[in-house]
Amino acid sequence: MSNLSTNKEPVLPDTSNSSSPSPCAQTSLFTVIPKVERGLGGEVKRISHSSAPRWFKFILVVFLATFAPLPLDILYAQAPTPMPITDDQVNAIAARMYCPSCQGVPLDVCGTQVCIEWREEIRTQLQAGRTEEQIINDFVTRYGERVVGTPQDPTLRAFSLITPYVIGAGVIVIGVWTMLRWWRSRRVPLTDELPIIPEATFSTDDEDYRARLEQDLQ
Amino acid sequence: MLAEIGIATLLLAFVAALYATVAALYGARTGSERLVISARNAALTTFPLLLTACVALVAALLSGRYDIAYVWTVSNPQTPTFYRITALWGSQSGSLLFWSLMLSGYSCGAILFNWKSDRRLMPYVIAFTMVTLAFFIGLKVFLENPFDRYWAVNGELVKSTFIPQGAEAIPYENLANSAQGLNPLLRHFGMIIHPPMLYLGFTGFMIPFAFAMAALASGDLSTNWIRATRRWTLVAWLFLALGLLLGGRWAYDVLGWGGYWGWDPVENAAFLPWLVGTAFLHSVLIQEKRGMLKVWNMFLVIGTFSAMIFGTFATRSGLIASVHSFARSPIGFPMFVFWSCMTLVSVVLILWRRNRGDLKDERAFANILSRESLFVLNNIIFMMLVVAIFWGSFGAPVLSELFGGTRITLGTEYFMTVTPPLFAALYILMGVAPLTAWGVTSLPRLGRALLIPVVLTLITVVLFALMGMSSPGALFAYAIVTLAGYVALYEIYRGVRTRARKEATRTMGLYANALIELFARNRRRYGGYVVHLGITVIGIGVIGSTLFQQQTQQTLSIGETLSIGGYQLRYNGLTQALAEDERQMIIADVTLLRDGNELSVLRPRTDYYLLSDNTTMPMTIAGAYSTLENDFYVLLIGWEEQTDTTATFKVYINPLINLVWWGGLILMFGTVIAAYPARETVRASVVAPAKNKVGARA
Repeated sequence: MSNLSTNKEPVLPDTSNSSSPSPCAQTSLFTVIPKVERGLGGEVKRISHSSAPRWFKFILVVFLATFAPLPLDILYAQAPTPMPITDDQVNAIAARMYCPSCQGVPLDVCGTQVCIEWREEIRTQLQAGRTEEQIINDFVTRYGERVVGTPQDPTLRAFSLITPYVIGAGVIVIGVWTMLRWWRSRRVPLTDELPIIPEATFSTDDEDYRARLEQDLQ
Repeated sequence: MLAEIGIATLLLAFVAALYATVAALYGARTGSERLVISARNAALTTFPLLLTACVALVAALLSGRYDIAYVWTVSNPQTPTFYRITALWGSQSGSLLFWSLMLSGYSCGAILFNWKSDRRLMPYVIAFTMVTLAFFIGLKVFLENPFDRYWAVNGELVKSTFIPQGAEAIPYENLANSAQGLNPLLRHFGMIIHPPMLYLGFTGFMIPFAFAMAALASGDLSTNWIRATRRWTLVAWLFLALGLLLGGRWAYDVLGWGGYWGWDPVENAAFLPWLVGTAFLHSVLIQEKRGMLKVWNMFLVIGTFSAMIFGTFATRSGLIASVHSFARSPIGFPMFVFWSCMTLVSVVLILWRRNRGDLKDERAFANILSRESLFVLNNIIFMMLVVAIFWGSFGAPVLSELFGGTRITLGTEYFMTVTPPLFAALYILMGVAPLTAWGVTSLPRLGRALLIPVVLTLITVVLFALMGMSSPGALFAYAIVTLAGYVALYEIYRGVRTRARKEATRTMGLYANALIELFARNRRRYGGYVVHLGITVIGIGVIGSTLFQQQTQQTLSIGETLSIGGYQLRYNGLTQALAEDERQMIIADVTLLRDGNELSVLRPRTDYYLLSDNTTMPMTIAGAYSTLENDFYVLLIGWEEQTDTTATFKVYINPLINLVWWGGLILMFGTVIAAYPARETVRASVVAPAKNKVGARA
């Protein structure tokens, strides 16, 4: 689920293992190789840099001007499209949402037409690079808080999630207070059908357990 | 004729229930034995009357009487005979009739079985059960009559209970051809048993409530009412538990969620009375053993009844929409008024008795570390669970809509945040409380008693870790759940060992006898331990299927395979078929493999039911391969319409899910042991005015 929230950038093809020529070799293609004239003893007498004819240079410039952008075009055209969005990615988001017509049915498992369309819309938004939270917020903006399992609005969210803890804390406080009050009051038993067996009566746990068990089975 | 029989018997039952209420109250007030007996007889006649009404409706369903609106709604000429019978509870008014029959059955049972032993309480028991029954029959008579018929009046279609002026019968063919048929979702074995179980659970909680109110009204506030209702409470609790489990199984098989519990508001509405009832079953022990928590127990009984009526109201009123609920209907407001009035009357009765000092506890807590203290803690946690679930299902959605104008949904995310710590606390208490003693327990002695179960738990957790489980949360969850189970087993073992040691020679037969004797002499305690074992097994299943569920959805071409969790699923092809009841089935043929070995051929399918308006309703039926280890669960989600060459599957692996159902069976076995009847004693045999018996003990 978490990988859905990341924006994926287009990835260029990896050329590190390709058998293309080295950068050096690539430059030699366009480099004018100097012509070296040597004497009888092998000494360098003159170095000439202009060995290619002018017409060749002209054609080369025109060729480069025409086709130099081509590799970029090819690269651009061959840039991988974003990874196809899987059903699992869509369902991971849909599981946090609810069917607008069948209350209580999560969007990822609902078979109604509207839910099928909503799942497709999630897929489209994922393909457009939107994050999970952006997609959910978009649905909430358009259809209201009831389409998500917990409200996105901070106030409603706090109202929903904190209230049971507040009530629960209240229940605990009342419960503990009542128990302490009972404990402190220590009323005299009105009836004594089941007297408490003090632990100190027995030297071992087994004896204690046996006495309590027999009392319970009576 | 069938409709006339139904209408007449319903009216008679309504009058009998009203008469029984008034006569019982007046008889109790004046001390008139004759009137009370008359009230009893009137109450007892409601059951055969309602049974006759039910039989009339079933006969109408079987004979295709489509002029009766209910029959037209839930059946059509293609509906199989079996589903015609179960259609009795297939829609609102029929299920209300069935509900009333159950309520009447429980009331008559309680009146007959407890008449001699609890005569002092009986007039009020009759009054409270019959006023509730009269209300439910009244709903049918005046608002949702299952015997309403269709008539043609001046060329217009009219629905009426009685024959309108100038009415003509509508030709059979017209009605039969347009009849709607049973909701496809209800055509499942789980759905056939699930509603009766749930109704038996819901209506059964009426009996402890009626006895508690009778105790308050009569002033017999001893433990008589508790002893009288112990078994009734257990029976109601068992049926409600079975209803919940069967509902889960139905959802798992039919709804195509891949799970059994979706925290749907209607599921929660049935779960709430079960939770309050469970708290009551524990708390009431303290009153029996120690004479404490009298006010609290009264509140719990009212809470159970109130939750039951509220659940019925929420399901049937249109307050919440759900796959489980009935459509919006006019009975919502009367049910809300009835629920409020009964709760209010009950609370006023408690406060009145409390202020008179009639509900004073006989003992105080001797020590914080004692069984009664831990039971109180258990009750507090149960109540917190009830509050959290009620808030998520009804409180927050209704309040936010009422006061904020915003409709919100609190779903699985909310419940899985709020409830797990509370369930964990309950399992811990389930593991510790049985080892404590009434009155007082010292920490060292409790520690020594816990030693063996804790060691066994640690060994189990280490084994889980060695098997590859690395999640600390899952290991902790399994630790507390298995501790509860080991404590239950250890307690049974300790009891058997202690009893067997009384004899000089120890043989296997001796231990077996000790075990039987132990269960026979304290069925409730040892049956309760078996229930704890069942809850442990359910817990193991729930943790496994929740934390370790795997799922994927993929589109496959014929011959293509998907892999998940060590399994491979190969798609072989798609076929179409027409069932006897005219539903069209699209069936996928897939082969399940593991490590290259073929395990099974599964056939997940989608059924299309033709509805009366010529539209179709799809239903996704899973293909499953079940083992104790897990369920491999496949759903056919979609397919290529033109060529049938590709199909989309949603696959779930639900580890240990079958333990949920096995745990349910153990729970049922334990409850039967706990509820198995012992010899009853006569506790009171005279009817006297309530004012003479305040605080009296039989």
